[in-house]
Amino acid sequence: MNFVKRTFGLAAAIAVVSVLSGVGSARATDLTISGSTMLFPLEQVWANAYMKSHPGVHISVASTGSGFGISNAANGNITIGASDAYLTQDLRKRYSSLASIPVAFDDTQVIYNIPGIRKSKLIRMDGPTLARIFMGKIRFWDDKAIRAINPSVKFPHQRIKVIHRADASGTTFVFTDYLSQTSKEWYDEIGRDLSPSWPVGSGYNGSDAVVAAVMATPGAIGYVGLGWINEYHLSSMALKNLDGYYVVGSVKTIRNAGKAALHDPTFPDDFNRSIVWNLHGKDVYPDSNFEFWMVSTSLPAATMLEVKKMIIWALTKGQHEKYTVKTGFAPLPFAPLRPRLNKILNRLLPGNSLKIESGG
Amino acid sequence: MDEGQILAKETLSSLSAVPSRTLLPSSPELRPDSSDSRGHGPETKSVLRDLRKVSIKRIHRSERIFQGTLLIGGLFVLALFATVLGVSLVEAWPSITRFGWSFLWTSTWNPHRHIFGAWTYIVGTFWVTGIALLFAIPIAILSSLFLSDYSPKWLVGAVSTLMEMLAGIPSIVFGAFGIIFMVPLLRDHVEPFLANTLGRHWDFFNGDAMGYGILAAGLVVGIMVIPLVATVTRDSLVMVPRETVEASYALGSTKAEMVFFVKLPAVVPGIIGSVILGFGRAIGETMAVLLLIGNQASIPTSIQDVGYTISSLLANTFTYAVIDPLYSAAEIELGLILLVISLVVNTLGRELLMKLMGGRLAGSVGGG
Repeated sequence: MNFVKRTFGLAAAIAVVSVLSGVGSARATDLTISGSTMLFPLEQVWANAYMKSHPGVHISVASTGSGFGISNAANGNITIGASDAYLTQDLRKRYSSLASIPVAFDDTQVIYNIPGIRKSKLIRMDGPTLARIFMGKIRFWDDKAIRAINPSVKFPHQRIKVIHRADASGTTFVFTDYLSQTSKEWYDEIGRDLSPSWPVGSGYNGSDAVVAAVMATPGAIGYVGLGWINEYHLSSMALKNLDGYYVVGSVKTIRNAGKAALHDPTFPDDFNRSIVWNLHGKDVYPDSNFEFWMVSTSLPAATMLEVKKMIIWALTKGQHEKYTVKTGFAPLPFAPLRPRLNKILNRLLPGNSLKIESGG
Repeated sequence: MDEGQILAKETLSSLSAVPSRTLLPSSPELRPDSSDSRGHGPETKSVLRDLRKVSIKRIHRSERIFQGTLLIGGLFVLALFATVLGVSLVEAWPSITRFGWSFLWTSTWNPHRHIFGAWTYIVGTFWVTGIALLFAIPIAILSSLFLSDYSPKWLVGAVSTLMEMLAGIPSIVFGAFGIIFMVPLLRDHVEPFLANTLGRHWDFFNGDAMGYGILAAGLVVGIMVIPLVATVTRDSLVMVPRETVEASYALGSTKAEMVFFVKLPAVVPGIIGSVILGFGRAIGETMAVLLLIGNQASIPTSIQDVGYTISSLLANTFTYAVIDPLYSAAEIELGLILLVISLVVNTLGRELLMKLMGGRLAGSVGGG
C-alpha cells in the first residue's frame, strides 16, 4: 500500500514538473510555422533537429497551403508563413509588412506517359509548345511542333491528356510562371497563379495524385516537383532554357539556376521575383524556384530574435543534404546569396547579419 | 418493425405524462427514518407535511433546471444555424453585391481577373447528382422489391444490415474504391465500349477514355445513395396494407402482377420522397467526387468528360482563396448556393414524405 502511494506520488510529481517545465519553455519560445504543403516535409525535419539542439524552443509546424501562410504571417497569427510563391506586386501592396526569406530550392518538372516510348529516351520540350499543349491547342503527341523539337523520337498518334493540380499549389505557380515567361499566348490568356483557370485537362488534389494519374493514363502529361521525381524514379522532359540548351531538372541544374539568378545584377534584393527569369548558362534548369519563409517585420522584438536564430540556423546548418536533398529540395547556393540575405535580415532586426563559416 | 417503433413512441409519451413526482429519486428527507417512524403521533405527520413542502419546492426547482438545460440545447442549435448562415452571408457579401444574380449564370471563373461565376460548377454538380440518381434509383427499387417479397428470410436480415453498413462508410473510402476499381474499369472497358457502340451515333457518349470524370464520380456517389433510397422504399413497401395485397390475389393476379401493379404504385410517393433525399445527399458529396471527377472547370458535353462540382472546388481551393477577399467571398457564395439547394431539397423531400405517407415514415427520413 505504502509502496503504491509512494510510486503514485512520484509519478504525479514527475508529471507536474514536466508539465510546468513544458509550459515554461513554451513561454520562453514558441514558434509556429505554417503554410506551403510543398515545404512541409523539410520544415518537419528542421523543426525536430532544431528542437533537439536548442532545448527550450518549441516549434509547431503545419501544412495549410501557401495562401494561408502568407495571410496569417502578415496578421501575426503565426510566426513564420511558408510559401512556394514570391510576393507579387499585388500581395506586397496588401501585406506591406512581410519580408520573404528564401530557405530552399525546388523546381517543377514535366512528366509524361507516352505509349511506345522507352523510359530512357529523352524527350525535349520548349516553353511555347508546352504552353500550347496545356492550352489544348496541340492535341496529339505526333503534332509537328513536338516532332520538330524531337527529330529522333517516333511519337504515336495518341491524344494528349493534360493533367494538372486541382488544389492551389506552389508547384503550379512555378510551372505557370515558366509558361508565362516563355509563351506570350499563355501570359495573355492565363498567366501565373497558384490556381489558374485551366483551359483543358483534368485536375487532381496533390502531387501524389498527379503522379498516379499520369502513370495510369496513356497519353498523359503532367508536372511535379523534384521530390516526387526522385521518390518515384520518374523520367522528366528536358526543358529549353534561355540559351537554347535542353536541360533536365536535378539538384545540380537547379542549384546552377540559383547561382545564375543571384549573379544577375537585376535580380531584386528582396527576392520579389521568380528565378525563372533570364537565366544564362549551359546547365541551368529553367523552371526552378525558391521556397520562402514569410516573416512580418512587426513581430515583437523578443520573438523576432528567436525567429532570426531559427532562420540563420535553417540557412546554414539546415541546408545540409541530410535535410534538404532527403526531403526533395536542393540546398541553397551560399556565397552569392549572403549579401542579399543580410539585407533582409537587417530589415527584420537591425544590427544582425549572417555569419557563414562554410558554404552550404 | 414500424408498428413497434410507433408503440415505443406512444409508451414514451405516456410515460412523460405521468406526474414527475413519481419519477424523482428518493431524497434523504423523504426516506423514512428508522428512529422517528417508531411512534405514529401527530408530530410525525407535521414533519411529513413539512418534508412534502420542501420536496415540492425541490421538485419545482429541479424541473426548472431541467427545462432550462433543455432550452439551452434547443436554442444552441438555432443559434448555430443562424451563425452559420449569418457569417456566410456577411463573408459572401462583397461577391453578392458585386455580381448580383448574374453570378449564377456566368460561366467564367477567373480569380486572376476577378471574374467569378458559378454556372460551370452548378452544372457539374447537377451532372454528378443526375448520374448518381439514374444509377441508384433502379437498383434501389429492385433490391427493395426483392427484399420485401421474394427473398428468403435469412437474406433479408443480412442484406438490410449490409445496407445500413454501406450507408455508414465514410465517403473517402468510396473515393479510394473509385480510384482503384471504378477508374480502371471505366477507362479500359466501359468507356471504349460506349464510344464504339452508342458513341457512333451520338457524340454524347464519345470521348477519350480517361476513367476519371463525371461518370466515375456519378457512379460512386450513386453507390452511396443506394442505401438511402432502398431503405425508405423498403419501409414504405412494408406498409402496404395486407388487405390490398390479398385483394389483388383474390382477383386472380400472379405474384409478379401483384408486386408490379399493386405494390409498386402504392409506394411511388415514398420512392419520390426518398429520391429527393438521395438528391440532397448526392449534391453535397465532396471527397469521393473530388478524387474522381477530374476537377476541370469546363461544362461537360459528353458522359466521358471531366467536370467540377461546387463542393470539390471549395475543398480544393478554399485555403488559397482566403488570400483575396473577393475570391473567398465568391467561394463562400458558392457554399451558400449549395446550402440553399440542399436545404430546399431536403425540406421538400421530407414534407412530401410526411404528406403522402401520413407522417408514418418520418422516423426513417433522416435528412441528407
